[in-house]
Order: sequence, then structure tokens, then C-alpha cells
Amino acid sequence: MNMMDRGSFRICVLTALSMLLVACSAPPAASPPTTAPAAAPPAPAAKPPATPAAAAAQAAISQPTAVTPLEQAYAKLYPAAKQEGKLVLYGVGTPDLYEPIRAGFAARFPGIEVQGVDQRGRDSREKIVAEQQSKNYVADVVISGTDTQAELVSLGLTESYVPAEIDNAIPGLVPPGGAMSPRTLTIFTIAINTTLVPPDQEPKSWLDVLDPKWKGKLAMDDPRGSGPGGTILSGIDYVFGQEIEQKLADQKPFFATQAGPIWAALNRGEYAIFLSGGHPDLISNRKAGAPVKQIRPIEGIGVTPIGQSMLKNAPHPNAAKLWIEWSLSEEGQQLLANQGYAVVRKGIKAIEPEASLEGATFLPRDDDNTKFQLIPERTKRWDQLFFKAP
Amino acid sequence: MSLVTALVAFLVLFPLAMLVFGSFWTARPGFPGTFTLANYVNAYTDPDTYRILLTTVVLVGAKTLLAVSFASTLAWIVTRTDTPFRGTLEILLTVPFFIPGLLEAIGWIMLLSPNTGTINVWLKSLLGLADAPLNIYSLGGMIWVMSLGSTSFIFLLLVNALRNMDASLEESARASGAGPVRTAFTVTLPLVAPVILGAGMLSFIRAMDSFEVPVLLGMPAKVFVFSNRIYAAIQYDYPVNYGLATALGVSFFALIGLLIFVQNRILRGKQFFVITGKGYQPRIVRLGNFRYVTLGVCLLYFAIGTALPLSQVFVGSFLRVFGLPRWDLFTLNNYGAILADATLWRGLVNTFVVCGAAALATVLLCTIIAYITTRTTYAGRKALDVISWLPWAIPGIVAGVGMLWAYITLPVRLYGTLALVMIVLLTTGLPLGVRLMSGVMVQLGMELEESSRVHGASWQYTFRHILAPLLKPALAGAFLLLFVNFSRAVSTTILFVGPGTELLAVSLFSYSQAGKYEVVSALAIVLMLINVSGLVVARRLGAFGDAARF
Repeated sequence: MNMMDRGSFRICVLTALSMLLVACSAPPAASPPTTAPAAAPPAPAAKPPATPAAAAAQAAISQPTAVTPLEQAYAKLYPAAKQEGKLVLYGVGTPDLYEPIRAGFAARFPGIEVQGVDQRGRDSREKIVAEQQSKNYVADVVISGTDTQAELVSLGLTESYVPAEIDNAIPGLVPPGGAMSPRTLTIFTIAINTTLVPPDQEPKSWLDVLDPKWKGKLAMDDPRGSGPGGTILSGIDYVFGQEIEQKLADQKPFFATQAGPIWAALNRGEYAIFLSGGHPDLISNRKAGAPVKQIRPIEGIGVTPIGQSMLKNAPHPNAAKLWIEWSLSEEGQQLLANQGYAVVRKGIKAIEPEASLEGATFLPRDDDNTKFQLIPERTKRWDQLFFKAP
Repeated sequence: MSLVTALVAFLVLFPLAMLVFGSFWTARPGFPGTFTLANYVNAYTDPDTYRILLTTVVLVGAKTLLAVSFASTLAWIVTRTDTPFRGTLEILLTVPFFIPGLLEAIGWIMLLSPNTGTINVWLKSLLGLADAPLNIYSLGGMIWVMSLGSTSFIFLLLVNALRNMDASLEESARASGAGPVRTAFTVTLPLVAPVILGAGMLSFIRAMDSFEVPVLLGMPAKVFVFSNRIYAAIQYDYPVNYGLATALGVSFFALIGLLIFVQNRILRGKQFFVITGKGYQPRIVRLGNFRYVTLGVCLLYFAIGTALPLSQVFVGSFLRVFGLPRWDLFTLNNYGAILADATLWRGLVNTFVVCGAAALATVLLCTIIAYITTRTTYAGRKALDVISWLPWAIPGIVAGVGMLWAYITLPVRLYGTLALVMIVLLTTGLPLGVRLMSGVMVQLGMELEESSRVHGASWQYTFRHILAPLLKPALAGAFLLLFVNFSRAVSTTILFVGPGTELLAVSLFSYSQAGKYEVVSALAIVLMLINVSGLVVARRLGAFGDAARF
């Protein structure tokens, strides 16, 4: 092997080190497109090596490894996160769905104990407000639907953080400013009981559920406030006009504040059509053996983004950022897809067809601000229409 | 005594003050806002508020009357007669108390839903009907399910009181020629009136803000109760408006005040001393052949009221899809999932430790409070009695928030600790605990205590050696009731649990929110078995008095 002269060697090492330092301290928000390597290799002053091994060795000495912004982020965050040793997440979902995700992260980043709490958005919200007010910081990251996220942002309790791979998310799902990082979507659409709805009678359009034969056989989440019922109802309002609401009311749909009782009833055949069936429950019921099927009407399906935010004064900020980065990475998103989640990253294939967004049409959806402004008026109207005794 | 009053006032009035403050503020307490009356205007200028309150009172009144009737009859049969197998019956009739209310409601839905309810399908084919004769989604359905849920609770309250009554009063009535039923109505009933009344009131007040069952069954029937209104205030407003919910809750206070006033008027001046200084043995009343009728009554109630809905839960726990009983869907996976969930195990241990400790502390504190309010002339005893009711005068959904707001303002860091969970539980247990111990205290004759004091014993000595042994069955009964209540508490505790402080009821709630009734059923069955075994063991060890051993 040809020896580089000592001076050139020192220059190369110093250059490599400084490149590494620059790469590690670059803010993630300023990351360039994902596929471009971060550092341009310096020109070595050495003579050409004699063997491939020597060439590789020389390349290793003289050129830093090309790193993606994600890997840069990992390299920067992981050591600090490991020092922190812990991560607390609010809103992780039931253990059967959450455990594989947690295990995946733990395998990728050993040394960080992840504690997840399964709770609804509004309970997360109350606890976070209390924690922040009393300066008793417990949670690092909150995972929830956009309402909770938006409310926490408006109260100034979240910390903006834009993950390196944000440009890989489906456009239109990323709120500006980095306050919330998208993670998954829940698809809400028609779920039918296949015993009661034979293939030739499956609804093809949202209008098909207004057929008199389905009177008394429809079920839906309570549309008042925010939630899947409201998402679907406001969506079909936009497509067909508000007149459709009275026609739906004439069908005497069954309402509940939780989806659980509706699924139990649909599985059993008490109702034939569930208008706002969430895809995770549908997959889980279908796989368990219930005679249910997802229907995607031509006018579109409803979607609710589930995102995550880092909280202000998070006790383990580096672990929190690492989690957010990993959640949007190909590995993290694939793991979520494997659990049946519909993921926000482009190009990840859904494991279950009901979670696939390929070629999907979406019902018109309000952005959060508009939605919150329209909620009182809609709630009042739907209250009158669906919930007043005759 | 002033120390006790101060402690109770702090526990109850501090969170209440935060809530009341919040109802006059445009934002949450501690956040920038302005004074406002808008919440009260909204709440009380809406005719719906009054309509809903009336519906709630009617519904809850009907179910309480029904439950008190069932429970009194069953408690009398089981404790005061020679009905065969009454020890086993007592356990069986207690079982529903250990099943979450939502699950029972789901069980009844599987039985009585109009299209596929098992009983409806069977009746339709038997009687050749076109439409289902029964519909769970109706006011009647709501009353039925809610009364069954309350019966076991009231039953538990009554058995202890009835068991330790002096039987000589009833026997002299029998000796004078009165039949068993007449004796029951003219002698037994008036004597246990304070306990029945107290139990009825407790059940009524608790049910005023019950949520899951009436909302689930009432929404399709368009029967709306108070909880719907509170839920709407919290869920349909953005940002969330606890102020409106609290403003609505103010009407509760008025109602509670009225009830306490009424109870005091009815019981004023009446003495109910049945545990007296005279030697007595709690003896049972012999019914002759009538005892087989009473056995039949108990079994019938158990079969229809408990076994039927429980069968749905039991079968559901072995199915992959709840409510779809098919052989190909049989599984043990639901039980497996419970075993594999580490959070649940932690929650189980936490629940036993925390709820046990909280129940113990609550029983002790409530015994002292009951003693003060019933057996002393302390000037503040009426106020103490009223304050001890108040935690149930606050709708559960907002009670938790009020306590959260209160305790985070303290310089002591309690948030996130099991200690705070205990304090929260203790506060919510005060109304039940004080009622339980008061009901027993009024039954104790004064002469036992007085003769002890006359002979020079200190108050502490008297309490330890005279009162405590007499109260032992009641203390054990109160501990059990409070423990089970605490272990089921969700709406107040959910805001105080986190990593490391998990509680079983909250995990159960998460599973049911996710619609996994199969797993919830399995968990409920396991918990029921644990609780019932504990109950049996406790009785064998004499916790509920010698009369309860079998």
C-alpha cells in the first residue's frame, strides 16, 4: 500500500472530522431533499492506491460516508436520547397495536425506555394542560387527532419540530409551521354486513344508502362535535348539498357516541350498513371472522389525520425528536402499516386493502380552523334533525 | 372535630371552588380570560335543560324505586328468614356489582335489541310475531337495566344492616299472631327505614349523572338525560367548555340540598335503636313452607336479572367476535391477551394496593365523620354532613377536572403519584362512606357508650373496645363497597393515572373505547371471580360478623 505523506493524511483527517461536525450540527429543519448526500467529498492529495482494498481504505480515510438528513438526525439525536434514557408518549392506542411499534423503536434504538399511555385525546389534553401549568412535566409526545393537536398548539403548549423526511408525507396532510407531525390516517367509510347486503346490493354511491330498503338498517357515529360522524356528514354535505341530511334522517339511522356498540351490532346483523366505520376496527373485526366489508363510494372516503407533537419543556426532548423522526421514516411507517394503520408516507404499501390510500378519492374536508368555526352551527342543525323527539 | 371538618372541607370545597371559578371565567383557570356569566345564561335560559332534568329525575326515580323494592325483598329473604341456601344466594345476588355497567348494558342489547336480540328472536318464533315485542332502546329498557344495576348495590347496603338487627321485636310480632309478611312490613321495615332511605338516596344521586348506560340506550330512543347535556357541553364545544358543564352542575347542588332536607324531615326525632345494651342474638324468622317460595323468588331474580346478561358476557369472552356465537369463532385468545398485557398486571396490583388503602382510609375517616354528625352535639356537624355529600353533587366528568385544577396549584408535587390517586378516591368515596357509617351509627343505642364513659373510660377506649367491635361488620361491609366502587372508578381517576400508576378500570375503559368487548368481557369475568372469591373468604373469616358465616 502506498503511504500518504503525513501532512496530507492530517489534512484529510481534519477535513473529514470537520465535515462530520458540520453534518452533526446542521438543524434538521434546513435539511435538503432526502436522496442527496450531505457532504461533498474532499479531494485527497494522495497518490492513487495499488489495490481495491487499499482504495477502499483510502476512501474511508479520505472521504466521509454519504449520509441522508434522516441519518444525520439519528446520529445527532440518538446519543443524547440514550443519555435521557426514557420517552413518555400519550395516546398510543391499545397494547396489541402499540406493542410492535414500541418494540420496533426499542430494537432500532436500544437504551431508551418507551412508556406509552393509551388514552383519548381529550384526556391527554387535560393532563398536558395540568402538567404544563404546574410545571410538572411528564409527557414528551402526544399522539392524537388534529383537534387535540390544534387546541394544544393554540394554548402554546407544543414545540415545533419538523422531521427530516417531512417531504415524503402526502401533501395536504402537513400543517404549516411544524406544530404537528403527521403519522397515520384513519379512514372512515361505509362498512356493510355481508350477510345482509349481498354483492349486487352493495352501495356504490353515498346516495345508495338512502334507498328505502335500508330504512332502520343504518348506523352512524354521533356527528355532533368533531369525530367521524361529522367528518362523513359534512363531507357528503359538500358533495350533495345539505338537503341530503333530511333524507338521511328519514332513514332513521342508529347513533352512538362510541363505535364499539355499533360494531357489535353490525357484526351481529342488527344493522346492515355502518356509515362511518373506521378502517382499523373494520380490519380487526374482519380478521376475527365477522362478516363485514369496507365499501368506498365513488364520491370519496372520509379521512382523519392522526399526528403527533412534541410538548414544550418535554423532559426527554432528544428522545421525543428521535421518535418523531423514526415515526415518519420508511422503517417506522412500514411498521405502522404492518399493524394495519393507513400511513402518511408516500410509497408505503398497505398490508391490508382497507388501509390502502392508493387511488383513493377523499370526501371534501375542512381544514381545522374552518371546521372549528362551523362546529356550533352544524351541531345545532344536526341536533334538531337527528336527535329531537318527534 | 374541627380538624376533621377542616380536612373534609379542604378535600371537597377546594376542587369545587376551582370548578365554580372556572364557570365564571372565559378560559381555564390560570389562563388569560375575563369574568363571564355566559355559562349560566346558556345553561338556564335553554328550555332543554329543564326538560332533560325532568326526564332524568323521572328515569332515575323509577329505577331507584324498582331497585329498592327488589333489593329490600331480597335482603330480607337472605338475612332474616330461614330460606335454604341463603348464604350462596347472598353471594349470587352480589355478583352483578362486580360487572362493569357498560358490559351489562351490552349484554342486554344482545338479548333485547329489536332485530337480532336473542330473546326477541325466540319470542317472535314462539308467538309467531312479525315485530319484536321488546325493545331495549326505550325508556322501559333504560329503567330495567339501570334498576338491575342498582339492585345489587342497594342489596349490599341492606344486608349488613338487616343481619345485625335484634330479632326479638319481630319475634314478638310473630308471637302475637302476625304473619311473616305482615311482620316484615310493620316491624322490620320501619326499623330499617333509615338505611333503606339512605341507600335509596345514594343510588338516586349517583344515578343522576350516570352516563354510559342511559346514553347508549337512550340515544336511539331519543330519551336524553342530564349526562347527555354535560357531555355535549364538553364534547361539542371547541375549545372545551368546562364552565358550562359546571354551571349545569349547579342544579345538582339544589337537588342534593333538597334531598338531604327531605330525609332529615322524615327521620327527625325518630329513634331506631336496635343494637342495644340488652344481650341479643340476631335470630332469623322461620317461614315454614313459605321458605321455598322465597327461595324461588331469589332464584328467579338471579336467573332473569343476572344470569341472562352475564351469559352474554361469559360467552362473549370466548368468542373472537363479541355477540356472534359461532363455533368457528371460539377462542381462548381473549384470556391470553389479558395474561400477556403487562400494563393490565401492573394495573391489577396498583388497583388492589391503591384502592385497598384508599378504602381503608375512607372507612376510617367516614366513621369519625359519622360519629360526629350522629352522636355529638358539635356545632358544625350539620355543615360537615352536607359537605360530605357534595362530591356526588358534582357530575363525574367535571369532578376529575376540578380536582386536577385544584391539586396542581399546590406547592407540593402530587400530580403523577399514587398518593394523589388515593386522595381523589377518598374524596369521591366520602358520600358513600359517611352514609354507610351513619346508617349504622343511628342504630347503635347510646347506653353502651354512656355506661362505658360513666365507668371512666376515655373516648378512645370506648371507641376501641365498645363501638368498634359492634361496628366491625359494618366496617367490613363499607370497606368492601368502597373498594369495589374505587376499583371501578374511571371518570375521576382517568386524569390522574399515567406510566407506572395504571389502574385496571382505566385499562378496561380503553379496551371498551376501542370496541374490544371480547377482551373486556374476559377481563370482567376474571375480575368478578377474584372479587367474589375475596368476598367469600372475607365472610368465612367473619369479617361481616358471625351471622354471616356459613
